[in-house]
Amino acid sequence: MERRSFLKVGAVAGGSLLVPVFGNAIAAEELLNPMAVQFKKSLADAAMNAATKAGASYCDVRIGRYLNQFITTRDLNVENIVNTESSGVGVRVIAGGAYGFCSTNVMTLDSVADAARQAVAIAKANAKLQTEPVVLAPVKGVGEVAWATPFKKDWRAVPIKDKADMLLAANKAGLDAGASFMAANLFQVNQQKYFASTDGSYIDQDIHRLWSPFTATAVDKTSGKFRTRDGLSSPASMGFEFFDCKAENRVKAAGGVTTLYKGAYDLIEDARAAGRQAREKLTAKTVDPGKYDLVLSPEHLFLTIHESVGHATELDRVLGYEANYAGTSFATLDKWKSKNFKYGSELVNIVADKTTPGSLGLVGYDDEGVASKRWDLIRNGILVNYQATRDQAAIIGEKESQGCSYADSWSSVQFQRMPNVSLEAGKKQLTPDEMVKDVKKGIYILGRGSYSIDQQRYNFQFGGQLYFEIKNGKIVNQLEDVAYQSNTQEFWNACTALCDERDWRMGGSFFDGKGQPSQVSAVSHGSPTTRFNGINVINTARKIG
Amino acid sequence: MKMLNQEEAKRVCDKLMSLSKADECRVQISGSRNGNIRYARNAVSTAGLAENTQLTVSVAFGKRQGTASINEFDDKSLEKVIRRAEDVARLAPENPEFQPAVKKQDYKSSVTFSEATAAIDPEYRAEVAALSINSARKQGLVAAGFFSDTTGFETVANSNGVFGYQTLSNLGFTVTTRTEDGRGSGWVTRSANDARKFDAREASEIAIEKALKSVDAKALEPGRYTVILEPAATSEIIGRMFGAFDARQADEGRSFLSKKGGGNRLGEKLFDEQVNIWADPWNPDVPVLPWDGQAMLARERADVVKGGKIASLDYTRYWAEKQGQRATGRHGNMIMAGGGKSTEELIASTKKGILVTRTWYIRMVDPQSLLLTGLTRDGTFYIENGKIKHPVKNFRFNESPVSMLNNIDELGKPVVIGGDEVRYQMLIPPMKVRDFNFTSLSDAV
Amino acid sequence: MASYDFYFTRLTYESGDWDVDVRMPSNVLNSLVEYTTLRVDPVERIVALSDPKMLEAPFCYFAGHKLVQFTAAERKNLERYIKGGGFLFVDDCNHDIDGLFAKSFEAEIGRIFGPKALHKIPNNHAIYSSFFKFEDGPPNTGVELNGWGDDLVHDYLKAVEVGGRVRLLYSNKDYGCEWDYDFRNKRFLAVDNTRFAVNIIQYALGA
Repeated sequence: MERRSFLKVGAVAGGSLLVPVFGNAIAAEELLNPMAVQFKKSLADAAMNAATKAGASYCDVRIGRYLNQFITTRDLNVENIVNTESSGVGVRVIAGGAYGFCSTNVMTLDSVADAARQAVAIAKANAKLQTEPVVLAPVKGVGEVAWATPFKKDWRAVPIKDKADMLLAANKAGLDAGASFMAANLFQVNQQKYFASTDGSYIDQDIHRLWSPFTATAVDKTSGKFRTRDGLSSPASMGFEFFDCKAENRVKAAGGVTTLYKGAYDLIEDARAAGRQAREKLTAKTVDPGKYDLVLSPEHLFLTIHESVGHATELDRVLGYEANYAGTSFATLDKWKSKNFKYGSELVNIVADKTTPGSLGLVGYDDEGVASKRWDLIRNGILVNYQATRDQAAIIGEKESQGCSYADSWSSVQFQRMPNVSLEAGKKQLTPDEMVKDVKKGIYILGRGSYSIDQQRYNFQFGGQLYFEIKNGKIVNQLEDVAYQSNTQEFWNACTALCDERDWRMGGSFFDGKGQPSQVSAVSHGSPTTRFNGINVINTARKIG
Repeated sequence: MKMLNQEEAKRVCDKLMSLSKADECRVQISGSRNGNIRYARNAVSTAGLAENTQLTVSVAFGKRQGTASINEFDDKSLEKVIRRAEDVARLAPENPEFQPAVKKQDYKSSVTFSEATAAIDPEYRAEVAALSINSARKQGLVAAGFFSDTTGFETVANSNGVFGYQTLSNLGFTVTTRTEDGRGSGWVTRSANDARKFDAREASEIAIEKALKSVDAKALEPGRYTVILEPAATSEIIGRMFGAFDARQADEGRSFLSKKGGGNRLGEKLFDEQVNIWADPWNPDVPVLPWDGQAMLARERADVVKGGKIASLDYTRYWAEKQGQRATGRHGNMIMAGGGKSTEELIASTKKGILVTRTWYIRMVDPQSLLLTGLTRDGTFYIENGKIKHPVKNFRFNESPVSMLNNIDELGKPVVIGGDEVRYQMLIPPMKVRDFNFTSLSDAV
Repeated sequence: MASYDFYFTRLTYESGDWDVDVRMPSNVLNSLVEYTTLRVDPVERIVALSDPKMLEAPFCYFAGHKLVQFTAAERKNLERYIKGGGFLFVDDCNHDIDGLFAKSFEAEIGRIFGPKALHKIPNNHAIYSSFFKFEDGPPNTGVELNGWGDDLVHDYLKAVEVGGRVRLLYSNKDYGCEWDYDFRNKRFLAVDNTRFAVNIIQYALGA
């Protein structure tokens, strides 16, 4: 499930007092001082000693310092600049075979030891209602190690004015090109995460992510019509060099309908295109409902992958732990055990990983101290694996955890979250233009639009940002009011062609929600431009009188 | 950190005002103690308690504004947070739409606090979980649920003399019970600010009954049906509509409330005349704070839809000033008038129809017409000749709340329902609605 | 009949379920009023196929989901009505390729008019331009695209023609369901989906 509530807080806060979502607002220059590793180690040891003494069979400690900066703009105004900081310690233990968790923002030896003892007390209380003891798959302690997101330009060191100017320049470009209104935001995240466990790991990680979404709105007052075009950017785990877009980062969409980006992003150029395209959408042809062959660009397909494969193969959903909220999954264990469940056509190969450079899932270790890896979820169309944490690995016959544990804050409990889930490129040489050439009656879709899927991930409906009609191998005109409805298994079995490695790009979700209370995580999904045959397209145009 | 009482909160605010060197200063303090318990597969998976008190200060030099916050309250920390806000304000560009702090407001207090809710302890929560797990287990069902309760206070103040302090409490409960074979699923949601109005057993029994009754769902052809929508099926649909009641969006031509040729549709009849919706911070069932924490404006009782006509729109202070309108605090609740009938009585008067007990994953497809898509979930039933005949497979719908609220046959007795993805506390009646547009089937249970 | 140019007749029959799409007739009649100058009787008439009264109707509607097996009287009236210049619109509610209605109805028609009588009509047939213009033949419906029934889009209609004119129009598209809603809700559609009904009736009346 994709949640927007987080974004909303940023968006409505303009011009008035706000409560930052992720902690305390701080001055920019203070962002750069890291916490001493030795101090973190002593806190962790204090917690682990206290937990062990109180009867815990296992203990992990996460010491987090989360720094965020959000800039929101509207047309030619900066509405808000928010710096937030949140620091604290979360202690998780196993005692009496059950989990216990407690967190504190008071970072003293006494306080964390107290928290650890409380966690043990909670575990012991929970143990009474426990039917089976928690068993963790083994992980070898790695001693004292450090890992950091590779980046060239630290976003924290880029002057606020330069960032605000970039957003305003994008808004101006959109307005000049035809938009009536523009709104651009910049989200920048730094997670300084220290993990220690009684397995003998002390892992210090420094993680950086950023995203610059925008919306261009075009209004035609006489007809009373309006249309929006959102940015085609993907969020990335990179430094501010993400915005230094070079020729090799630009990708021409099929038929040259717009410019797309790989590995970097030209916000201003995309905003200019969006201003023009939002205006063009006002007069684009409304789609005839029917069956079409869909040519889906990675900027669009990532969200379909996320919803119909990413969430469906989360082992905690499959087992029922999310039954009360996000739901369960159609991809049940018996289907996996059969080794012949055709999730998709033979061309469909989907991999999970937390190792791809630039991806939002990229980390050295997960929140259980498991080193990042890569594994198959769907191979030649067959469901072959899931996403698991340490306490789940045994259920699917794995000796080790796949490293899918994550908590969005020091104060929240880590649980199973989605790694990057990506569709492999096709093995045959094929460009998007060549793919379009073979399509008789189709629609080329770019960008993420509306999205909805049922709680077991069967039935879904997706829209996009830009739609182009394909007739007899040619892109003939722009379309509007397009949404496609399908069923996960039918859809992936209708996959008939994939572009090759040259066209493989990632999209991503910055605020993916799951759990109760809800936690957000960030995850990327790569794919090439991909073709799906005979998909039902509905027309979404309505009037309200 | 213990909760601040009114005098303590006032003292902190006064201290901050005296420290501020800026042209103006605004303060918001929120303190809360949040307890929760989560369970799945008939066992508790997590239980926790989080306490936090956070102070946010916003200062301005002319049209440059800066915000900072902290959760320590000694004099040194208060000084630090003010200086940080001032530093950010000096770095920020001027905002032409900046609105100075509001003048003194009259906040008429509402009853948002309940001793019974504040008294909830870990044993109470464990009991809720145990009760619902045991009732489910007895019927051979698997329960997954979440109970959370919050007790706290809110304070707002500014350098124009505004001051408000109020304590609050609330609780929320949801549980899903499923048959072992996964062919039946039932769900229930409850929210209340007073724990005495919450009955875990009653709520759990409803989820259990739905799970048992929903086994062996039959496929019904998608199309337009008369539906009986329980409040949990419409709260997110209606809530999303009120999220789009912004006057500026309407005036700018980018809302379903924009008028062709310019302006907005205030005063126009957009819905069936049975539709009457208002906001009232003092409603005893869904009380909310008497101010809007962002603008610090006092909330008022206000008609939003009256006799099917758009009765008011939301104005930000900037847009109100620009349009010569009066801004009031953003609404915190939505109350929809209904009739006296229960859902069962609405069913009894239905010849053919579908009972929808919950909707899920609702997203905007087209903001122009407010077309939303989403699915039914956890209990959907076919009604014939006034009786529930059999469960039906879940549907996807594509429907606008505007057409939904035009197609009302009858309204039942309103019940309290908390928002999940929308921010309002709501009191909504079950509705019997014609021509609800189901567009495909889902195999999900 | 004098005060009307048109009235809507639904045929009942012994074997299947004729009682479907209850809001459709008034919705279609509303469209006739809205778009044409026809004087219409706003009341739907329900007549048994076996009742000779049906022979007087300018237009008949026949639909259902289930097995169709005509009685001798039904068969006789149907043949007389079609050969005598009537117009019957038949809509398969299930539009399911393995569906009972389609198979059994088509078999009945083969028995009465011969196996080749019911044939596909081209997408440029006069019925697609008898009032509104449908460039690509029969308009697609939302209902047939949503995974119900056979999940096939039937991009043609079939007909029995007599003397070069369609006298029996047969659809697997479930237009009946598509048009089955309160006529007041037409205003919420960007494009009125009952327009093709106007074409069918105009054609039936000789356009």
